[in-house]
Amino acid sequence: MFRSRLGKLLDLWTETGLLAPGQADRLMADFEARSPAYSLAGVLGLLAALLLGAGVVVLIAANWELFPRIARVLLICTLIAAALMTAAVLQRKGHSRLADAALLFSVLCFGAGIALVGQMYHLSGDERDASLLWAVGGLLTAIVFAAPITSVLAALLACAHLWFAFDGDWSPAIATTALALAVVAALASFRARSVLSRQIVWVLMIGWLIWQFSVWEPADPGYVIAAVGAGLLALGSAPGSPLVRLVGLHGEASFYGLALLLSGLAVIQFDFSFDTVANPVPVIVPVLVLAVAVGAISLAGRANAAIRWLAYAGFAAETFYLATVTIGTMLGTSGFLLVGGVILALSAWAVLRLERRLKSSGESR
Amino acid sequence: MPVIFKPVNAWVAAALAALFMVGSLAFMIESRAMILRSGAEVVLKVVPVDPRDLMRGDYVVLLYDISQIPAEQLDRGSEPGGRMLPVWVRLKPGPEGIHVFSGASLEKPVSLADGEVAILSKPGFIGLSTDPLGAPPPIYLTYGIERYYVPEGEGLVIEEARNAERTTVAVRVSDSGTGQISRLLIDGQSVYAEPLY
Repeated sequence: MFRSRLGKLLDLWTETGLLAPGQADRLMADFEARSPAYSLAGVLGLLAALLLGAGVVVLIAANWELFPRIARVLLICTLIAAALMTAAVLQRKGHSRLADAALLFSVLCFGAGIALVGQMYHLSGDERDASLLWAVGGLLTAIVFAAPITSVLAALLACAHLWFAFDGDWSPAIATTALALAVVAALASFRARSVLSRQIVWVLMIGWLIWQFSVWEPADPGYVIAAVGAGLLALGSAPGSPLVRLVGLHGEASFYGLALLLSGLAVIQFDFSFDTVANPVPVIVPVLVLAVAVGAISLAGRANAAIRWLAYAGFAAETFYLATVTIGTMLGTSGFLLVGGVILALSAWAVLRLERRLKSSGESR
Repeated sequence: MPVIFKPVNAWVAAALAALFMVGSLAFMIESRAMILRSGAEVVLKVVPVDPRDLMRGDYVVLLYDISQIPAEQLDRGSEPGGRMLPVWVRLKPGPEGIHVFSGASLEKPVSLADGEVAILSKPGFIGLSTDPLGAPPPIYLTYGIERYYVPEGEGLVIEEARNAERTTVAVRVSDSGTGQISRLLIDGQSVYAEPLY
C-alpha cells in the first residue's frame, strides 16, 4: 500500500522537477532494501505450518486408538522438538520467516499435546488452566526467538485465556495471572517487533480492564472506563510522558484511550437512556461525546489518521443517536442539534482564518 | 541495541522452548498418573442427563449424584455466601460398593471416618445463608470429572447405558482432593482399559 503510494509520489516529484531524473529509482531501491523482504517461501512455509498444525490437533481430537496413548505423547513431543530444532537451524541460516513458521507449528503441537493429556485423563472444566499453559508456551517461544508471527499466535492465546478467566469466577489470583500474561505478551510483541501482536495486546489489556470494572462494585463501569480512557488519551498526547516515549506522540495510546473514553461515555449514556420518556439523557453527556470527538480531531487528528476516523465514527454515531432519542423534548433535541451545528460551523470558520494567518506569518518569515 | 531486542542464540532458544513445552506436558501427565497410582478410590453412580444434550463431539457428559448437593447439608462455617467457592464433599461407602454423599463443608475436613473420602469441587455458587425465599436451592458442583472421552463414534453405547442408570465411574482422589477418573464401568464391568500413561 505504502509502496505504491511512494511510487506515485516519486513519479510526481520527478515530473515536477523536485527530483533529478534517475533519483527516484535510487530512492525506491533504497526503500525496498529497508523494508522487510517479501518472501514467497516464507509465506508458503507459514501456510504449511498452519495446515500441519491443524492436522495434528484434529488427529489428536479423533482419539485414534491404533497407537497407545504414550506413543501419541511421544509423537507430539518429538514433533515439538523437531520443529524447534528446525527453527534454530533456519534462524541461524538467516531464514527468519521460515523459522517463524516452524515455531508456529511447534506451538500448535504444544496445544495438541495439552489437549491430548486432557483426553487421556478425562479432564473437564480445565479450559482456563489449559489456555494459560498454552499461552505461556507460545509467549516463551516468541520471546526467546523474537518471532513475530508466533508472537501473534501467542497474543491470541493470551486473549483466549482472558476469555476463559472472564467466563469463570473472579478472584484476585485469577485476575493477576491474566494481567501478568498480558504484560508478558506486551514484552513479546516489542521484542518480536510485531505491530499486529502489539495491537492484540492493546485489546487484551483493555479487555482485562473492562473485566475488572465489571466486577468492581464501588463505581458504575461507564465512569471508570471513561476516566481511564481520558487518562490514557492525555498520557498518549502529552509530549514527554513515558508512554509517548514508548509508542510515540498521538500514537496507539491516544487511539485506545479515545476508544475507551468514547465507550465509557456510551455506557453512561445507555444507562441513562434506558427509559427515555421518564428519564431523559442529561444534555451534558452528548455534549461531552461531541466535544471529545472534536477535541481529539483538533489535538491528534493531523498526526494520526486512525484517531481521526475513530473520532468521526464517534461523532457520527452520537449524531445518529441524538436523532433517535429525545433530550428533554423533541424541540429540545432539535434545538440541540441546530445549536451544535452552528457552533461547529463558526469554529470551522475560525480555524480556517487561524490556519491562513499561521500560513502567511510562516511565509513572511 | 536495547537489551530487549538482543537476540538469543537459536540453539539456546530452541532448548528453552522445548524444555518448557515437553516438561510441562510431562508434569501434567505425571501429576495425573500419580493420582491414579496412589489416590483413594471411590465408585460413583452416574445419573442420566437430558438425552438431547448428550454427545458434544467425542466425549460423553457425566453427571453424578454429588453434582448437586442439598444446601442445608453444607457446613458453611461463618461464610455468608453469595459467591463462588470450592466445596469439600465427603463420600462414604454405600450399598453395592458405590460411594454416596455423607457431608459437605467449605473447610477441608480435619478427620474422616473409616472408608470415607473427601473430594474438592471446582468453585460453585454458594447461595446466601439468609435466603429470602425460604428453602435454599441445591448447590450445583463440578469436580473436573464430567467428561469421558471416547474414540470417534463410540460414545452412543456408553450413553445408552448411562441413561439406563447402568453406568458407574471409578474415581481416584488425591490427598488435596483432586478427582481423577480411573475407570468407566457398565454393569460393573470396565469399558476401556485405563493405563497410567
